[in-house]
Amino acid sequence: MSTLELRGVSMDFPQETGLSAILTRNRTFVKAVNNVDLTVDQGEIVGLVGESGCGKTTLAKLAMRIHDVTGGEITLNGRPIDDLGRKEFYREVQMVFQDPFKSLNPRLTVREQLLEPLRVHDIGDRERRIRESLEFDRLSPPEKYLDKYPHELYGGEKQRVSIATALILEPSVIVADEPVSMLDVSVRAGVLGILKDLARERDTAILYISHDIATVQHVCSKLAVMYLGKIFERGPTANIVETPGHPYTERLFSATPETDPTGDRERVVYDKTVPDPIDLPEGCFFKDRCAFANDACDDEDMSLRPPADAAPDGEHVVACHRSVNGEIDFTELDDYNPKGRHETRTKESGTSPTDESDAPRE
Amino acid sequence: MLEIENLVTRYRVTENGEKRHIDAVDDVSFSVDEGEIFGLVGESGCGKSTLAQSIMGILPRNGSIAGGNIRFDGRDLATISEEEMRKVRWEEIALISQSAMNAFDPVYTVGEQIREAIEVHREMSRKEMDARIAELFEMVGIDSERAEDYPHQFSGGMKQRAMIAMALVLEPDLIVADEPTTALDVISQDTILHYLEELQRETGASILLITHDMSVVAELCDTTGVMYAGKMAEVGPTEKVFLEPLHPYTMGLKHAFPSTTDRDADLISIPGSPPELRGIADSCRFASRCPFATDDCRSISPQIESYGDSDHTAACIRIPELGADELRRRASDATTWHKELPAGLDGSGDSPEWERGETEGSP
Repeated sequence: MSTLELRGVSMDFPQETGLSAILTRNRTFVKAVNNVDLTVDQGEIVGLVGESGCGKTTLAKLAMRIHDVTGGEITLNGRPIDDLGRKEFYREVQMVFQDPFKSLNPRLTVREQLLEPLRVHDIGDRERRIRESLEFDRLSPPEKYLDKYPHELYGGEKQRVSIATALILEPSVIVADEPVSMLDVSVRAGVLGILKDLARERDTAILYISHDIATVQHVCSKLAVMYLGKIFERGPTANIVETPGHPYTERLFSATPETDPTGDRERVVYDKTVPDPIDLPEGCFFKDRCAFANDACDDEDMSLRPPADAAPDGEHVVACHRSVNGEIDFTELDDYNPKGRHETRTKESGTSPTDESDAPRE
Repeated sequence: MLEIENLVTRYRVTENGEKRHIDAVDDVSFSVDEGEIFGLVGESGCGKSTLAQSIMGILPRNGSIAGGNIRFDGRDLATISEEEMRKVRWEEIALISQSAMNAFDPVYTVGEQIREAIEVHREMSRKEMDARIAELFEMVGIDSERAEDYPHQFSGGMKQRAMIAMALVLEPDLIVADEPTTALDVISQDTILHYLEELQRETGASILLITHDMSVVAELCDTTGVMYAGKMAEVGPTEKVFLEPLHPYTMGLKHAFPSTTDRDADLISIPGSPPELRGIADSCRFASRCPFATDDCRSISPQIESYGDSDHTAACIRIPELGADELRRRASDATTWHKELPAGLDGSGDSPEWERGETEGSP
């Protein structure tokens, strides 16, 4: 049984809230999350990747019950989360936030910070739990940290205290939204190591949300790629990285710079930005930017099914009919344009202002 | 073209009524050749942005250049008057900063704002200006009709590209790009880097690219400088700095940074945090986090010297003692950074400072 399961989950935000919108009942919606299926099992780190505005943070908030879904259902260990009391729910599901500078209370010492959740949930044996939580977070010896205030800690230490406050209840699920993006490179690895240990040693289910493609490949056992509120591809990390099925996944990973100075990676160039999420195109949302698009893409329903060359276990799924039919050969990208880029297509298409308006931030 | 020599940039701070100063850039030297892309990498607080502000002459009020030279095209930018500097800025040296995309005024169209920048420096007719803007928009992949759109009608990546167009409108010889793509997604980043490269090739301008992202530097830059706590730790051709790093800090950064080509490689963090810049005594500033540090490292400020090739320099006294190959071999092992070293390996016999944990000195 999946620890955290999202079935057909949607989140529509009303766009117009002005008087005219109310009077005319002409409300438009941003489909921030659009009919998403995703599961996170025990001991698994599932990476949810995508560009800003794709809905990944909204999805995290749905999983954390910060927003209520407008469609579909989320279950925890098989039970719908709406059936669980808030307290019961947060005993099992905890979040690690992006900014440790903001997520810790500046007026509480590390000890007080860690005591709070134990008090709220009326859990005893507090000193032992606090020590263990800090030690697990490689903040040892704990004595060195217990009486410090957040401003006395460095960035990496702060984020580890923040993780410790999430861990102290020994939750079965952790939702981590960009947990290292605010940290310096030299200390990121330490925080990532803790998340890996959590999955391995405590069997915690972790949903890891990030736009940092290079990092998720190192941390996550499975990946889900999100675009305009939809999951476009999902599967084991190795499959997604080595044999991507969806043209969008391929472009996203190809755009990630390499640390090898002798590499000869071609840059991914898109002059045209993501479509307006209020006025989405018919069929596949990516078709206007896709090198492999054909007429049938207007009828693509973006349901997830195995790509042509996938293993029969059904783990690797993709929302692209051309990939399902085995019609995509990514080496063709080189013939498509001598530089392997999309300039020709993108410059021809779309000049209306809404085409290039930015996707709204959630 | 740009030659920085022993630059010291100082901030005056008042703490508990006591006046102090912090040297955010301390004795830094390097040069950017004509047509070169020079990458400056380092973590937050290493002084890389202060360095950019020193070059542009836009330091905050409590900051000043306390020593050294910034030679550019026959002048010393460290000493010229504000009036002269105003001519250099934009016309000869342009800045693209991380928040540049938010620098557009929301009530004017992007085109109006670019024309305003031209009018301050050049005499051009409206027609000539519009032609120039159209040409630049073309170069950064934005439809020239969009010049009369307002900033909110652009996406983040487009605003940043428009900013690059604006920076280039007066054909500067040097572009200082301070984290130009940090706030953007990978595809927008790649698009911008593509145009930056194309523009560099077409105009022959030099670029000083400042970033914390090792992979961007690896792909884009001819020469790489690594800064740590206000000092230059290592400078050399990018391939050498990445493939045969000399300074233990560069080695640490390399192993801490996720690679897309080697997914299974373990990431190794560097223990500890950067030191306080206040009242640093003579010592290597990386010593408190360095697994190779000895007593000498904690009492001598290392000079930057060349090893092997004359164009590859680093500031570390352990390089001649242990050899760069040996340092690299040990640095690639996680236990070197995170577990007790076997006795005697260190050579000095005393316990390495990093063992004492991360909070050496209060932040």
